Amino acid sequence: MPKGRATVTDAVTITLAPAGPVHALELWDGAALAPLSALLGFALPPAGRTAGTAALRAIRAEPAVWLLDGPALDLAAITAALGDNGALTPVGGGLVRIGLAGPGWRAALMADGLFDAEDPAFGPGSTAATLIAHVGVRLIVTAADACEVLVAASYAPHLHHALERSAKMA
Amino acid sequence: MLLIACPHCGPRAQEEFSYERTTDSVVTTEAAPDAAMTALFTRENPRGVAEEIWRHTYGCRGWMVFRRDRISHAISDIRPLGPEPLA
Amino acid sequence: MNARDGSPVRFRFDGREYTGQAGDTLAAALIANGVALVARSFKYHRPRGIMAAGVEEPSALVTVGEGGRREPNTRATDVFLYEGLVAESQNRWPSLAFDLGAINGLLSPLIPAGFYYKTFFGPPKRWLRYEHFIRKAAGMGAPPTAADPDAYAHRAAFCDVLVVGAGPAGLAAAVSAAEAGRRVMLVEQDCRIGGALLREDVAIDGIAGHDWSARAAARIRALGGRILMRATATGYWDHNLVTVIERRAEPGAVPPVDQPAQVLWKVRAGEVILATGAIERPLAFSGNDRPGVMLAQAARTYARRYGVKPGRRAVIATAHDDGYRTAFALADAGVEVAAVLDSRDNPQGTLVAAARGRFAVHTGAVPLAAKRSGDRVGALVADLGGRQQTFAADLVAVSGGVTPVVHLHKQAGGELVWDAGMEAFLPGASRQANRSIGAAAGGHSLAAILAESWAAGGGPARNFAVTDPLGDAAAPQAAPPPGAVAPGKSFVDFQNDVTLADVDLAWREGYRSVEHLKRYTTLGMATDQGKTSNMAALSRLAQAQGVEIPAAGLTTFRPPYTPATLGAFAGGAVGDHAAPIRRLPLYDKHEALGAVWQPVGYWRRPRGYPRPGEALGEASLREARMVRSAVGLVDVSTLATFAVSGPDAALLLELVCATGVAKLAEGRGRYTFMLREDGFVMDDGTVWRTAPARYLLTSSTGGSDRMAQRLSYVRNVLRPDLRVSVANLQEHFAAIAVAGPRAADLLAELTGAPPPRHMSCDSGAIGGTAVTILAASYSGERAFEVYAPADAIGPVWDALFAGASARDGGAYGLDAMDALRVEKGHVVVGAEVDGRSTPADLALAGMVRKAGGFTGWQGLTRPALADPSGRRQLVGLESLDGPIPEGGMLVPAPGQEPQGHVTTAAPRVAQAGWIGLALVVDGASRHGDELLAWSPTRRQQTRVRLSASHFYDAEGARYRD
Repeated sequence: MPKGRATVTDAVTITLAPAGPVHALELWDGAALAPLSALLGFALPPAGRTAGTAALRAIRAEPAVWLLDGPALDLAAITAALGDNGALTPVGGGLVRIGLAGPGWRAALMADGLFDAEDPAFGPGSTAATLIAHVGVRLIVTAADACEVLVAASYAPHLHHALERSAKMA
Repeated sequence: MLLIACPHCGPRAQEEFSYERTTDSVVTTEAAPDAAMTALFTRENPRGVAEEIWRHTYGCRGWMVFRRDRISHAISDIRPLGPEPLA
Repeated sequence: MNARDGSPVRFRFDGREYTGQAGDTLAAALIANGVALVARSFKYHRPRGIMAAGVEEPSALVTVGEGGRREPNTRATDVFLYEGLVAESQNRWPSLAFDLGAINGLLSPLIPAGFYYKTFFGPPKRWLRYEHFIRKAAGMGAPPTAADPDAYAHRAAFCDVLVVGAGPAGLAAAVSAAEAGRRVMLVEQDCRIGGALLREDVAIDGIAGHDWSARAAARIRALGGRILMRATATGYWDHNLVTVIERRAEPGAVPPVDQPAQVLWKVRAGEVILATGAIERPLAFSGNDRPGVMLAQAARTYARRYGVKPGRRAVIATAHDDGYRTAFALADAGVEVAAVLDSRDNPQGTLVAAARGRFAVHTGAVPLAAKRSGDRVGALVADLGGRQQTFAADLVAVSGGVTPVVHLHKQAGGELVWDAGMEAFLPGASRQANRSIGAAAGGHSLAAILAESWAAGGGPARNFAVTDPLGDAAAPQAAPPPGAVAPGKSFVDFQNDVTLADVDLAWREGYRSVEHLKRYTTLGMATDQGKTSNMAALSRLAQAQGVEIPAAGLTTFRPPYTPATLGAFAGGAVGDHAAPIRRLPLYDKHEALGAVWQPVGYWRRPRGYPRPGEALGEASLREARMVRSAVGLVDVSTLATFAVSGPDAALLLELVCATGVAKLAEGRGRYTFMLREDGFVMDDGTVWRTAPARYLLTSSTGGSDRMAQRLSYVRNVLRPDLRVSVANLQEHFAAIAVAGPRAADLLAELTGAPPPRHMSCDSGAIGGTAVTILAASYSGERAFEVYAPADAIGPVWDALFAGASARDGGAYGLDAMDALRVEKGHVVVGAEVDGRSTPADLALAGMVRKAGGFTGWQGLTRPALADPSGRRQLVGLESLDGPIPEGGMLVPAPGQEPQGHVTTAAPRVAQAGWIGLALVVDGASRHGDELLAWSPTRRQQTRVRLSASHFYDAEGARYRD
């Protein structure tokens, strides 16, 4: 796996790095929502949205699952706030974070894609899971001109190749 | 290719979804053997509207059920399946 | 209105160099260079020229480009000149001008419609003889033999409104939609915006038509709309998905650096506006295919848009007003107009009146025969209301009415309605969110089309001032059915060489349905899909049936609208990227050890690690013996792995697994398997209780997606009430299996703690990384699976590999793993677990929970599954000769009914010889029987003796420390 490699075109810069610690938080009911919000400092986001900051971020991934990442993540405190109302499972070991920065990030995601990343409403704070080049990805819009792509590490070289190709062609 | 309005994610391409089965062929582990085999092997196959279970496997991984007209592909009455929705 | 910029472009046609102008089509440039003979026809090798000016061209097919970029059957009217373009005529030998195949034309009474089918009757040898002759003589361009060097791409796009066609209607609709704030996409197959405006001398709101078009395009772009040029909407699919193929390089041209030759756009539109225009119809008369016979609108296009004269002296034969426009355009361009022949008896209107003042207009006049002069038309014989007259002319411009382009509307499931006035099918009710505008909807008045199209785009109502020096034309009309046909060939389908006589013959031979007519005569089945011919044939069929055309029926409109390059469908999925390749977390380590890679689904896994000079088979046997004698490491990271957590975790697992889980103690694990609902074994694996309310479930690599789906289905659809979480950790974890008599010692040294006993689990640290250790064995030796997060597995491998190497061990691959598990008698999903085996067939019935309650228990009660007699059951095979053919059938003697098949075969590890596993009818009670493992396809046969499936340490003594 080429780590930290960057591909630069006029429109987009593509970087690649391991995702680091990421945890899946699954809730069985709403009992832990309030204590978790209090602990995190923000409400767990609804479908299609992220919340928090780069230091501590929650990404709504599934109807009852959020991905939590960021250096400020306090696992013990979250486990305590969670109680018996859900489960916290580390999942980040097999994730790669592909960064797309520059005005061309939206177009780069449309090649071999299915999702409308060119929709202006898909802006910072938005997230979506879809397929690109037959690979499952999670898109996280981090800024007006930047997007993060979480992808299973085994598929990362294939996806990286596809994104490089599409960035050059865009 | 269909456009399926996922109850969680909104309209998405069919490639993100997987078809599971029609609702009348759901078999629980409590079902009696005869009923279970009937549901699996001798079910309706209407030329028209069927109630189908799909999963947004490559999206939010959520489950849903909707009615699909197998002639026109018109989709209606889509609703989520699964545990009680959270905020 | 010559839009060519004047810059010269050199190109070659049939080896001769010519010069055209930038912006020319190849057809326009050939006309400008006085080349009339461009092609030989498909069946009769008749000389053919240029008939149209767009994608509907049936005759002027050429091969463009060289090497891997050769594109056969390219319409000369649909390729724009570029420097160095190389084109060749097709279907001729030895040359276009002198073609021996033209003798087919003389033999044509012997090759009538349905000739192919007729040759099928009689002795098969007859067909074989004919086929050789037909394949050689009849044909299209040759496909390239070299690989296509170009890249292709797929791209998704979304919009509120997709407008297909950038003529006046499409432009008005697109500007209107963009002004209304909608996301607009406009696609145009031409390289220039404007459509019909490029051939007409009109002004809109005081601006010349082509300038108005350019301004409209600029406005669309300024409002954020997307315009694709050289982009053809080829298919209309469900839920308003339209595929558009955009050419970024002309046929045969080298694309710009890093750019694809073509992009296949998958456009999902809220609404689709079809402004696809209309295609002019030819007229039926003898010799109507000769070079110099041209559609009237095409002749006008060459004169106005390209500034080239399609002839010196022209006769215009028309069925309606529109043909008159061509007379004016040609005359303005300096072409002598010998006559205008109008098939109507008493045409009226400003256009006709203006023409009468300038040209010799004959009414009630129809062409009978085009006479040749050389390869080109030299004169036209016409019937002028009962009197025949011959007009000397090298250009016959014909208009038999127009056919609206309804292809996409029909592909979208829309209905068609018959317009008796135009004698044309118009778009009726749409099934999807689409509408047709402009000429595609039967419109003909430019002012009306613009106003209606603007309204279709969603903008506020407005009118357009159209200035047309010739005034408005009357609505299009179709030509009357041809009467007595003059001797000679009167073509309907020019590309497939189908004549009126062929249509009549099919009728006489009993072909009544239009679908039968089409297949029998091959009418409409050429690469142009009958764009210029279908209506003429329908008309003839209806005439024979004595019905109106709609009653005669219509054939199906199928995508693609125009021929497509195969590369466009492949996109980027070619070569190494034809499918995703999944890379192991330890890829670099295996690569450094010289792994030979084995595709396993999308994964690549090490098959073995041959040393220099060592064959793979030798390496695998060495690796397997290393495991038996010392210790080996194998990468098992691809195994499906799930964390199942929560108070209801055991309950969920017992719904999915057929074996007991609830009684599993913390820190212990078990082998398990899962059934399909019909009772057959679906998958197998292990389940471990790693904490009071947390389990780790592993299952087969190949079944991982299916298992994830099953767990989610049971949890969400069947039991949404459970308090349980399933997390798929296949990617999160990497795993290394450590197996062999020295494995426990190695683990103890690295973790500093006694390793867990067989089928127990523990956590620890290796090489500074926290690991989970599952004491499970697949090899028959004492073994452990060491799990760590994939991004931290490197140091774990390094520590284990160093420790193993110090103990005469090392890495082993899939082949060694397979040999070890066969010797131990373990089944594997995909071989013994083949979707047809029950737990009892695999000698696993003892583990099935008697009380049921798991997925598939009902299926097991089915008589055919519950009764063991006659079922194929797992046995071992011992070879009495040599290697056992894997996949071979097990028979008493060659050619006899198989009694089973070899599921896996391998060399013995612990001693010499070959063994295997098999599924054999009643096999459990047949140990000791001898059969033949027979593979006719591999030409291998080996005598085998059936045995128990355990060949090694059946008691499991080696699992104990």
